[in-house]
Amino acid sequence: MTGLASARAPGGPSRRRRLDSKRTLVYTLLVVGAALFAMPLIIMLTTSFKSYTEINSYPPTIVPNTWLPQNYANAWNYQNTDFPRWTLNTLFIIVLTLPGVMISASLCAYGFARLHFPGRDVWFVLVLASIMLPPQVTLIPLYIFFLKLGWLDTFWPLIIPAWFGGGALNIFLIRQFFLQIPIELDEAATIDGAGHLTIWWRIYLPLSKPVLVTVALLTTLAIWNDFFGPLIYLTSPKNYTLALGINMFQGLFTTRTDYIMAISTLMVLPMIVLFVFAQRYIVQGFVSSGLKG
Amino acid sequence: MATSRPAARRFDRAFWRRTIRGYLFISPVVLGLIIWTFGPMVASLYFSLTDYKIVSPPVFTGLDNFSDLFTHDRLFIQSLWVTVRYTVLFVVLVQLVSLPLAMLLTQKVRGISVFRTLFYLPVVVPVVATALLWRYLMNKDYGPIDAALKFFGLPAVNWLGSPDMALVSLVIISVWGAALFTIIYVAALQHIPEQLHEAARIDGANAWQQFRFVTIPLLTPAIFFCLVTSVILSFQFFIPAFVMTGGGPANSTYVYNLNLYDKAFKWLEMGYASAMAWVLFIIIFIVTLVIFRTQRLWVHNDGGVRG
Amino acid sequence: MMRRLSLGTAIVAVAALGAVPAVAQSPSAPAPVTIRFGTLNAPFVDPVNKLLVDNFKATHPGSDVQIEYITGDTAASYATQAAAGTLPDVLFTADLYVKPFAQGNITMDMEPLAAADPTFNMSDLYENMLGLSKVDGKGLYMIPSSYDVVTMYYNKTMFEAAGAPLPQADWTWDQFIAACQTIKEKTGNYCISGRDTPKPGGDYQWWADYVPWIDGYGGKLISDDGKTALLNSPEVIAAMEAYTALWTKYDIAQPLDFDPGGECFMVGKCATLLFIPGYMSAMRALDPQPFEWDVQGIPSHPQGRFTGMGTYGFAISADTKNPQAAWDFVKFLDSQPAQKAIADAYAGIPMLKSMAGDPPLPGPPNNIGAFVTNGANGILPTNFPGNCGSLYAGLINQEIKDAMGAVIAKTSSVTDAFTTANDNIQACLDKG
Repeated sequence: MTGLASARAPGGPSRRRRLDSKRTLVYTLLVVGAALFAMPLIIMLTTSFKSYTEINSYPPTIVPNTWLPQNYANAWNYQNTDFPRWTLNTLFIIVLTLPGVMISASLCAYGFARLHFPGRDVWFVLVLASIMLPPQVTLIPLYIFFLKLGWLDTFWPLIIPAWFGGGALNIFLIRQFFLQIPIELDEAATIDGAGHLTIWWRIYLPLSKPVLVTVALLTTLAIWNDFFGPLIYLTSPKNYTLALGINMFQGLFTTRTDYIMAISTLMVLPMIVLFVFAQRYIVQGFVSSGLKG
Repeated sequence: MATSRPAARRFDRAFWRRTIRGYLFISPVVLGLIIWTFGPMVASLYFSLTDYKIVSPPVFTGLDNFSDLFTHDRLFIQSLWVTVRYTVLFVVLVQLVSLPLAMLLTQKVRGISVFRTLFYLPVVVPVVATALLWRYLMNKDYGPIDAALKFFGLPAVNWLGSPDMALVSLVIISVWGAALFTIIYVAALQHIPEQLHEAARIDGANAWQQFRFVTIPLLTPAIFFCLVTSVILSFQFFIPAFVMTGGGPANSTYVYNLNLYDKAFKWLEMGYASAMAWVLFIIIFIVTLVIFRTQRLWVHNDGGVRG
Repeated sequence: MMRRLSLGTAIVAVAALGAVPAVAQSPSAPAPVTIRFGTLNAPFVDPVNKLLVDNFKATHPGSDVQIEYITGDTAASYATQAAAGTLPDVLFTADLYVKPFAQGNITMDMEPLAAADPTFNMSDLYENMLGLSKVDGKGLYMIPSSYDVVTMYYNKTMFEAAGAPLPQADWTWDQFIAACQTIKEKTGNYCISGRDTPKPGGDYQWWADYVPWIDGYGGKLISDDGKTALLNSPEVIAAMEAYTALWTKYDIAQPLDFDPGGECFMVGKCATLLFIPGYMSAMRALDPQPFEWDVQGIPSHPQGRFTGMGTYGFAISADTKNPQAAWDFVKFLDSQPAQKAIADAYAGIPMLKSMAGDPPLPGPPNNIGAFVTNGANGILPTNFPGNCGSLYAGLINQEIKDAMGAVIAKTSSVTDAFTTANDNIQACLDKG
């Protein structure tokens, strides 16, 4: 459906010209918009090659006077850091969290969207309400709860909640999409003798690939950047995540901006790969499932 | 069968089967809520009725915190107002930016996934780096934004440094990083079957009419989601203000949650902070409820297509 | 010459040998324990961390130290750990935590441990800095890391370029302001850096900045019996007029909305910086050095020479299962080897009076001795009894901060702003 720019459009030469000028407009907007959005990222890249001294000079230079690729090596091997391990830690959390989120959020979303039972709307309200209370005030009781379970300084406080509903916003989002799926599909399947679990598995999940991949993507991003959770629950340096590790560059008097930018650039790169990969899958998913009549 | 309620005899076997099945499906989130959400929420409600200095046990004081909040605390009203202003600005701006952007990003041109990636990337940048980058970009004396303004003869703006513009600057930075909404709109737009656009085109509809009568109605569930989500998230806005401005200048970016954080962890007044948290909770709850009530008027949730 | 050298070497060797066992001595062979140590990962703190750990392992065979680094904002994680009782045995602390943690029984009073330890010589520590470790004048709730007294860093190149006289040890604030005005005229640069904290731009609300002015004009923030707030007394008003004049009248202090992209002194846009010795390490890390800089004592006020202090250090958590081991670990911070390591890293000035005569380290800064002589001028923050907070956080901090902010932003007069603050604080004090 997308990504297929037809070279030979029906309707004659005037239509082709209109399409061409439309394409030019689109590309112009894309390039201008991308330049604006990417400007901070470009600066992140150039700053990552600057020396600490150059960053702390006035006026700031746009292009580095001297290019220091060794910033990357120095940042990666900074004293008392272990970025390789921290990367693995972060990936570990993501890999264990994603299935939990996808399964439990979509199960719950199905229950809220398609089933009727007493208290359903009350529980949906409660699910949404759970993100309306500022987390600062539930921090201590929650911390003590995990302390009693012996889960402090482990990844479990960050992973297990994903398997129990996978996040209020995810349930909300998937429910929205489920509500849009034609009810006739349910009815047809029921006539064929399918139970709700089958309908969920065979019909709703495949049809919702775009939103499920979206949820997976957003969850990955959230974990990649989550700083507060790891700050509170992970105390041994060997258990740190990337987001926590990058804060080690903020010293008592100074901030190693050069190293922060280097590590940030490194953190962005795998996400680029993930984005490109995920998008192809969204497109494929939709095209292959299709919505017939 | 599963979607119509039985007319008479409410508590028959079918009713119990439905109920159990329903709760089985939502059991993960119900269990999660019961085990570690409600407990801490109730605890914080209890704290709100106490004088809890964290370093010493809570002492029950009844509604003192709430009365102090409304009568003695000028920062309470001020920070609430800052948060409300932020919410309005952000919610409006992010919809105005994300939806057109998503439409641009679902155009069928070559290399569109590269562009999409570029627009999504801001979300991946660590907050620490974002703060430093935007501090550079928004600098009045040497930042590129003001340089561009001056180039076009416009006056330079002290983005993060003036009490008038600081909050707007934070909104801009947040919208830059709000790829969440763009991603959702892109998914929603791709969810609209091409056949519908074709059918409309065959019926003679032009681009604008297609947009108005096919795209928008089918997008209303996504718009609804983004509206509710952006409201809830804006009221909880905290980390960028914490990292970038610390509430300044002159408390112009001292958002409610920053005030709450200070009270909880700097003043060590967790009881008072809990009271503040519950006041915010009630406000968010009411606003969300109102938005939900309007659903019927404009959101097409029926899983089908109307006229 | 050879003979003298070897004699001198022998003396040093004997002295060194004598020092190490004195510190490493423990009453009896201690049982192996593992203690948790919360600390910073800053480059200049790292050698000190290693020194403390190595010394502990050497004197406690079989024992281990588990380091937990402070990352990001400490307030939330500390408070949470304090509430749950999971703080490390030896925890990183700073002057602003001393009182709240002590009052909440989070940290233990180390005075009994110090008194019982013949190797810990408390009288060798500077009294005024030690005062930061006390609560209401009593106890020992922090081992301070360095003699961190606020001193003046100045940009020698900029002073000379403007033709302004270089800061002298006997200067008054009037002389300093006059030199600053010359610099402003000739170079357009501001004089006093805002330190780029808590946010880009200026700063004014650290007690170490303004309380010296109050003392310098003979004022007090609170009566000696702790019952009456004195923010609108004539002396305090005069002090605050003079202090805020740095912004409102002379325009030599970094304006709150001026962001030079970093700390103003380091990027070369402010002529001076009033800060603690540890900043030397940050300045020296610049390569090449952007300008010539040195340090000098704080100028004097009408009523005398006063300056603020502030340092980090380590404390022992009240919940620790190993108080003696924790004490053995943490007291080493104020030993000669550890203090020398801090000094050699230019991360601080030794806390030990006996080290004041040590040969000076090579500059910059050349006048490094100014940190020690200026140390005598260091004062403590005003202590406020009761529940209204302190100069660090709470209602009192908020009121003073907002009053000063209003004056500097020219939205209020000093009298009005401080009278309002005074009334609010008095109301809280009266509540008891």
